[in-house]
Amino acid sequence: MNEPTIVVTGLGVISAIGNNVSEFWKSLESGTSGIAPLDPPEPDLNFSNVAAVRNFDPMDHFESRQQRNLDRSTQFGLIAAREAIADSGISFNDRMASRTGVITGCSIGGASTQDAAYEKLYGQGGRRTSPMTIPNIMPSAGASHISMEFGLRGPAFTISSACSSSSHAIGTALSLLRSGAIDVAIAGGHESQLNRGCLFAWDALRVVSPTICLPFSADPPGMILGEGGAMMVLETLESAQARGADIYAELAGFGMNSDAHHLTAPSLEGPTDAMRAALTDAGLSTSDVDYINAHGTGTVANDANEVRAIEEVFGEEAEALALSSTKSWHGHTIGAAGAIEALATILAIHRGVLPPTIFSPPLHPDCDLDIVRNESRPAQIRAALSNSFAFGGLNAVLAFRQTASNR
Amino acid sequence: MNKESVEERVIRVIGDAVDNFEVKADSSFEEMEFDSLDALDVLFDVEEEFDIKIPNEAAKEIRTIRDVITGVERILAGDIPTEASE
Repeated sequence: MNEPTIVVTGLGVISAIGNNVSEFWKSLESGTSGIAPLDPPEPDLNFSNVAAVRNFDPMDHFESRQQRNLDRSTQFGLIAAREAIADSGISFNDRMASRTGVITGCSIGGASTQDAAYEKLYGQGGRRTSPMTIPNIMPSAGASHISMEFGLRGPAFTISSACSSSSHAIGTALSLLRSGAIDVAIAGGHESQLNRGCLFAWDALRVVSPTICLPFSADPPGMILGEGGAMMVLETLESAQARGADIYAELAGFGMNSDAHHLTAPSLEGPTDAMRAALTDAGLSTSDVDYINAHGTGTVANDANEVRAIEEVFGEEAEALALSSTKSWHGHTIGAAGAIEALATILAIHRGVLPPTIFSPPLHPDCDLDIVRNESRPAQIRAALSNSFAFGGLNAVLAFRQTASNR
Repeated sequence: MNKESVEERVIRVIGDAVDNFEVKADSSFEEMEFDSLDALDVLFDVEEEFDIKIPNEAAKEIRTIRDVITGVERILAGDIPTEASE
């Protein structure tokens, strides 16, 4: 079998730590947190901090008429796609447009639209809701808007698998590209659920931190909810070389499975096998991997289990690799998390810099891996994994590799 | 203070929803480049403004701002039954 090599040629992101790739990377490299008090405050919650997108005016990006048809979540997806496509320098002729897919991840859909519509109906005794409610709520709205804006006529659809949604989307794009079903993919995810209804729903799970997010610390206070979007342009190496595109990294492999275990508690076997599957798919050995961007939610349930799974997979090689959770800076962006963290991983490889984790000692007693603490550090990263282990045991691991033609 | 007429209110509400077009009483949805979803969207705004229900049958027939104004005036006058008795 002679499958094509798939590479990343364009990136776009909007998040609490930057509204474009350059700002995003600058924040990660310098260790600048996007966590800030909820505005307006919500005193009945057990937490007060979120990682919200800031300095963002939709009117800078959309005409008022278009904006009415876009939930905040979808706006993030479209803005990230615009940046990724511009960054890749790709132009879509008719044939290319018909062979380009848009595969997005989104966990909950247009939650802000839904919250506002229901508040009006139930809270204010309203008698009607906008005809744009349904089109704005559908989780696939982002895929539709991206395909419409750029005239991309290949397959466009959305994967919803909670916190793994956009890793599944990128992995699915890889399969479609390798199979020859499409030549180019716009893949990633978007999510925004910092509305009142969702904030209270998350609070009820008792997993949100009252302070900040401290993955791998001995007594992690919990996760921080974030929002944002990230997209990448994926194409065959042949196509990228033919048009003289700059290449960030190779999307080398994907591993996915499910725990079949519990709705919120992870198993050890699921994440372990998913990482092994990604390595096998990428043709990587454990000694090739220099960095793992952890799922690292900063919760008791995830972190210790993830560290054990990494030790299980990498054995003695685990000591040689660096680990960080960038969620500690940009928050847990749920359906966008896999894509935002894949971007952090790709940029780490491309720039030769390990992004850090916000850390405060003591380290979790079960964790003796090399956690990149508080400050980024230069490193040659030959290959890296980006882990997503969602609620409900839905595991998705992406493997990226440095390419000879890296910029 | 002069009371805003039905016509003025309709033009104001629909005008707020469109970019780069000056809405007038004789404007048509076609010249405003409205598709079916755009039309639904502004009829909702009109329902909100007047707190009325525009029946589905009537909504289908609306092509112009004048249709909207006339329709609203008829609903407000009780000429068009808008909902089953509650």
